[in-house]
Amino acid sequence: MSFKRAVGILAILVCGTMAFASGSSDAAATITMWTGYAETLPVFNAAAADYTKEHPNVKFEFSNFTLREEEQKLQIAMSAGAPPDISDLSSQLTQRNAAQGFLDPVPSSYSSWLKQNWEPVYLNALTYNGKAYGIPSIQGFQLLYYNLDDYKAAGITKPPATLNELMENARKLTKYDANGKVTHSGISLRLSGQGSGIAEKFEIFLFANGAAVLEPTGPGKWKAGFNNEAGYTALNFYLNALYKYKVDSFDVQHDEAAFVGGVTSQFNRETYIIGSMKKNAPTRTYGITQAVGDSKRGTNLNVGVLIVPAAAKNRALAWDFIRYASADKYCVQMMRDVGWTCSKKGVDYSSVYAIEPHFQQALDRPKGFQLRPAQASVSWAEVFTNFASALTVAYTDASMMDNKPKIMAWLQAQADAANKVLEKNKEF
Amino acid sequence: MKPLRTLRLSDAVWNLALYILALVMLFPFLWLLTTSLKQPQHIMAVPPTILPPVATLRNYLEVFRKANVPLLYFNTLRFALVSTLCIVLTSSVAGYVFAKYRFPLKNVIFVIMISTMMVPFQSYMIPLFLMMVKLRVVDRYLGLQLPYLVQAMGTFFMRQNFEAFPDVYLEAARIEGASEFAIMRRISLPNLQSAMGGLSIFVFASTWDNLIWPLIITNTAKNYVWQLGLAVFKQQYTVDYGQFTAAAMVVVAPVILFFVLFRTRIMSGITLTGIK
Amino acid sequence: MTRLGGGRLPSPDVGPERMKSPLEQHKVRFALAMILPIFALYAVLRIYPIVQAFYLSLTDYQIGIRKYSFVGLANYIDLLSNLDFLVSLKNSLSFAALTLVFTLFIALMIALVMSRAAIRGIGLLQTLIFLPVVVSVVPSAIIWNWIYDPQYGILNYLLSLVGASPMNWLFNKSTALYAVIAFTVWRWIGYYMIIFWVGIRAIPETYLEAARIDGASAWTSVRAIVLPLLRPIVLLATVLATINGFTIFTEVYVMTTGSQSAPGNTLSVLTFDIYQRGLVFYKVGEANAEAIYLFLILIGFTLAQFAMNRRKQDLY
Repeated sequence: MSFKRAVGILAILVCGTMAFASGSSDAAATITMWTGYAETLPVFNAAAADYTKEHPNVKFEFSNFTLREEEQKLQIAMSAGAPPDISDLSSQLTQRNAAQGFLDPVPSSYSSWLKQNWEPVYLNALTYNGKAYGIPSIQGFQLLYYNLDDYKAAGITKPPATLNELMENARKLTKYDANGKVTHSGISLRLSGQGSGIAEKFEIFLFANGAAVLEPTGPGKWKAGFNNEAGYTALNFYLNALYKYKVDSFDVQHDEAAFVGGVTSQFNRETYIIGSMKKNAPTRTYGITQAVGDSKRGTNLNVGVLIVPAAAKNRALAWDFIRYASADKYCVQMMRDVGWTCSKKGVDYSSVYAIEPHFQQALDRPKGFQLRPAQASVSWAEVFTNFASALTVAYTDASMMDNKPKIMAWLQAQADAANKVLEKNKEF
Repeated sequence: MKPLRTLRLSDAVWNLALYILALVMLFPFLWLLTTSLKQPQHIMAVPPTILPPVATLRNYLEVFRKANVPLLYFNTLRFALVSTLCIVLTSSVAGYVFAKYRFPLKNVIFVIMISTMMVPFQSYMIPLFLMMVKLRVVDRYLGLQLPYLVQAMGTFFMRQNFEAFPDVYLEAARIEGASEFAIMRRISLPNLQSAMGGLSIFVFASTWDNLIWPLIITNTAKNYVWQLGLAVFKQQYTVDYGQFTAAAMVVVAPVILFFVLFRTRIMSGITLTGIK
Repeated sequence: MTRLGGGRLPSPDVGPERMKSPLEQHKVRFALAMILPIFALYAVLRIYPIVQAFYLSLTDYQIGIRKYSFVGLANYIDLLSNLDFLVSLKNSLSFAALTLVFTLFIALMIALVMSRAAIRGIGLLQTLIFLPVVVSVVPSAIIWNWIYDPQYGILNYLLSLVGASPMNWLFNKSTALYAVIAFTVWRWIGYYMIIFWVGIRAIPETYLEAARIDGASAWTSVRAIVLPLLRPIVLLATVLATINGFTIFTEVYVMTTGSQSAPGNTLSVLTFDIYQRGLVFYKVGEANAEAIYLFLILIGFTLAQFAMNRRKQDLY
């Protein structure tokens, strides 16, 4: 038993240290911040270090978690009254939490500063009852990436602007094996996987004709927006891609891994691919353009927000730091070192463009290009996840291709399901 | 278990079969290991290779740079060791009593304990968390440790192992006038070292890998256990597989060590050859 | 109730239940003194929150919404007509049944072979077989995703060597669940191997010696001596495997978050649906009702297993 005894003594010693473990700082204030974006920490650390130089009594405590987990942890902590001072939050959840009184409103002295530095589309996402409840930070939006070597080999000289051009290009770029199976896809569509991603990617094809998954019908009210011509065009694009022109298939590799590995020529993704390509495939040449569209061009917009919970201990100080960390130089650092784009207006990124010109391509938007923020509906997660699940099944149904009545019926069924969810949450 | 002295054909076949199985078990782990030694462009290369064309230790250096490895080891080790000790102790005592004694409400209490194993933790973690908030032990070691002092599975495990232990020995000791407590301490528990060793391994491995409770109860980085410390490698979009697998290797090493150390406990478990 | 190798000597009961001998009383007092503190601790830290969780299942509580109200059995009734729940239930049943059968059978075989045949390097073998249990699920799942990859995966490569056609294992509805089951079985064999091994090691050498002297072959003594004595352990293993099979979460979750996974609800099991309902849609009231359904299913199976075990025991 001596082994057990030794372990026992060790355990007692170890427990004894717990008396010392919970040290408290002597600083006037410690600001705690949680983030789901671990990669952004270097920027916040830099901002914190600079802030402490000017305010020596303030210390910072940053904690990072994986994105989905941080969101859950934050919600539970806010509900339990034990939140951090600052956190990032998706814009969809900002309004809901503001409505429940879990968030502290931005100090009213900031409102002109906010209006000066952010376009209305960003501020609307986090305004509730006329007050702003967060400061926008990073933004996510889908771009179209295309492999320049493949383009050259296929004789394509410019990136597509419409759905038809996208499909045309894809057809020239796809490669097949002796059995007719796709070995190199002309376009990599999001066809499978968990969660809401499939629906979010599908929505980009809806934007091409001015529709969206959920359309607002009034304050806090929504309805399904895809059971129409735009929905037909979008779904038919996928089905044609898979079954008529065979420019993508279920059996090839998809997404980032495929583009980095050179097995696909075109796909939609956010700006972080720029960093990934530099690290994992530095010799591959590629270009970036905005998402294609027919009657309209637009892409989704995920507005990252920094919020201060209502039950936070150091609210005024927290807002002051967030404002401080929104300075232009940190935005430049964010783009240069991390790969995320800030949503702030008028930042001079030329130093970054000199090193990595792809970022300039990413922000080069044609006139009239629409940024469609994620709908601030409580039912967002459920509607999108259910729709995604249904889409993955629809993609496997070749009989729906070019079959307008069948597709419209299917879209109607999904719209009814979505509206039912909205109704249950009193948002219909 | 004395092995038969002459090597028979069937023995050779069994050896081969087991080693092939072990290889199948090992293969994914080996691939993890080799991935952790690869450079980024080779990991994302298509088609994927198993062996690294060029081996590098850079991923491991990054792990040590990005994560506070000693602190994470300390926090996780403390949590796992104390949980193992407490749970094995309480499970052994409770399992022994359930198996060898009769008392009022025994079956009711046992069934209640076992039934709690059938409710997924995420269902009651919010009420549990609120309790910790009220006790003001959020983001404290005590808050992390409290729910892991007693475990129904452990109790069930030890009870089943005690059932096979012959009552004869207990009765003999009683006739000699030993107290129940002494019987438990001198006869019952020592003879179940194998089972306690096995349980130790299970508890250690599962608390080492626990993510969901530490996630909810821990706020500051200095209190993180390893599963939380891995967040810095598990970004939403770009997963650096090289660093991530290197981190996985660093995390799993102590558990393998613990297993190897305790396996001798199981192997050398005393098999009864007679009344002591 | 006598069993080979041990049994209870008749206890010195004199007269009706109430009139216990001092020894009996002493034993009862000891038992209670040992159990009650442990049970009390457990009751506060686990049972009480579970009761609270049950209460929440009778409300429309959502995380992040302050107000909630009692709705009685509404959540339970709505679930019965909910497609996601029903599909998840079906998947969980298949998943649990198949995982249990394969894992336990292989684990028991391994443990028996290790104890009866002359195996070199048992320590090493046990460490290797136990390895999948301790390696974190997420890295393991990544590797298995690569194994199953339709274009470049090892599995399809090996199949092509014998002329079989490649399959999209995780995407194809008919193979997806089995692919995840194979991963889960790989992960858990070592765990049950240990459980069986510990149980087998506790069997007194004397019985097996006696059987060998009598001329019994290795497998006869396994059937006649080892297996009957292993009965409580087998019950332990089947109950645990049932519970694990239904409450497993991470293994299924990580295999389905890749961009190659099966369409629709093919891989949705109950724990995943509960997780999604409660921590993604934040509808905890519904999620907890589903958890209670899961609980009832498991209680049913467990009680059945205990009952079957007791009946078999009476035959001896």
